[in-house]
Amino acid sequence: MTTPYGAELSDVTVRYGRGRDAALDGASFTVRPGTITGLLGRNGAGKSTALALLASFRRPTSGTVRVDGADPFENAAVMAGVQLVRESGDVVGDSPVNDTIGYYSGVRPLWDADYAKALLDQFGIDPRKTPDALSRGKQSALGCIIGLASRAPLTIFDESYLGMDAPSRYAFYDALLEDYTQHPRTIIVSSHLIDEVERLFEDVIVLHRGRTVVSETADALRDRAVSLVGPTSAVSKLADGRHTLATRSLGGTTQLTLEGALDPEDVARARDAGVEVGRVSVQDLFIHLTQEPETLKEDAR
Amino acid sequence: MSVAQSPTTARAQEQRGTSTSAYALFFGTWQLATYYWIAVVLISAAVTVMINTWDEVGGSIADGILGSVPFFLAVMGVIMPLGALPLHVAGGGTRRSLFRGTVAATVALGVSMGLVGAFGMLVEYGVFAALDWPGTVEPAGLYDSSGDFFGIWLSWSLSGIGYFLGGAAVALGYYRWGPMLGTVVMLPIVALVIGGEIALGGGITSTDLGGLDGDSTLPAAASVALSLLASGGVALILHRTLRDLPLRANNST
Repeated sequence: MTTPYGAELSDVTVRYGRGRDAALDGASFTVRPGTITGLLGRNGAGKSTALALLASFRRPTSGTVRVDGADPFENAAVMAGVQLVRESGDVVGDSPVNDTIGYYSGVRPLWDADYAKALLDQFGIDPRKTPDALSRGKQSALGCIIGLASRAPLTIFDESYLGMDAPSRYAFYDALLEDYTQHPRTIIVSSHLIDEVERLFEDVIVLHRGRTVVSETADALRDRAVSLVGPTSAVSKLADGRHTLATRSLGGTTQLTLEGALDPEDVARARDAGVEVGRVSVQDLFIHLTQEPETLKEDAR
Repeated sequence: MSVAQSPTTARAQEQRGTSTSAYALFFGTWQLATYYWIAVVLISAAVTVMINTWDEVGGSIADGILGSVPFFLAVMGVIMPLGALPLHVAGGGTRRSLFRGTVAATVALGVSMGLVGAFGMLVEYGVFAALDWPGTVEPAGLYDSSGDFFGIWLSWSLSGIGYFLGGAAVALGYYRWGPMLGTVVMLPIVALVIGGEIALGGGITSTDLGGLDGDSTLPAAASVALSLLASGGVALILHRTLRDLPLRANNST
């Protein structure tokens, strides 16, 4: 039985060299044990660096990293419970897949060999082939299989399924959810395919320029804004005096994203006016939260 | 401290990491070494036949050709531990256990490769004796004939250990410190490996540097002790390099 690990970054800064911008600049967030947490951010936001710290790939320049309450770096017991799957895959590229699987099964205390074999079959990976000889999609699938079969109390997928085609990605999401239900653990998923994976998230962390912008439950994040779709005049009337995050118009119909929630009276007014009130996707909120000032100016023109 | 973090769990995980990395490095190297030995045996036989056809066999042929064993081990030392590093850490192993596994694999590789080499020399000794050819070898501290099985085994084992560790330390030094500082770190490593070789005599130092070690007077025990000391120095550098080595982003092997 796996006891899920929690994790925490406190005021963490990472610099890759003197004079270079900080990859993480005072970032702080908490990952609750036994949840699926989405770690989101634009390119260069510091996601991979944060995940590398949790997996003991490196030390922070300053600040504190805690996994299961302890500093993970060179901590054998903690490291045994953390599996990071990177996009490139940490495999023996020129030896059969069996060699890589054998290595992980040797090091990982909770490795499930039967499950790994079943997943290799499911994703059509011949274990006698070398990872270098596999297509990009199958290389990504191999990384995901390693992550799932590790049964690590903290399993991290860092853009690890980007090379997979859509059916394979959805098969992976299904396998992830099924295994998570049967073997509860803490899972962190970092991805640019937010629309696809946001249904998995219980918590969301958003990093931007090395800092934490959001660290809360996915529901709390979604409640930060509301979407109105309907006749332009009615939508505009409802939006009057509120902060508008985004506007899209087509013909006489407008879709507005407003900051904050609508009170029940406004919801009733909206319905009477033929305006559809809905939740905002995590992706839309993510775009708003990480939009640069220049982009906002262009949007306003 | 949670149950998962008990000292017993940590010890068990360290042992798991050490044995897995040692096993992978040892058998991974031997997978390629098998082809290497086939090539070495064929080349030795072919060279012997050619010399016997056009000239006279004046001494051990295998001694020179098998002198490439340390270089093979140095190359494998460059490739194998560096290749295992991201896999090992991603798999939850510590750098500490990879270091221990590397040292264990190095000793096992040195001893096993030395054994095969000594056996090859013994076979040559038997063949040469049957054909009444001289089996003389380059002067070395621990042996003076191709039939000196145990002396050759010990000497080549120690030599192989130094070269494999040296290769690993150089590769990880460049990985960690980059081309400039990596080269600076490489200098003491090379000095220690060559120093160990000089202490043993034979190998690459027997011809060009043999005069420096006074191998005719250096006692066998001193040769062994100096060689072990040199390898210990390389192991220290390797440990310093590896113990808190940051892994690069998106590293695939």
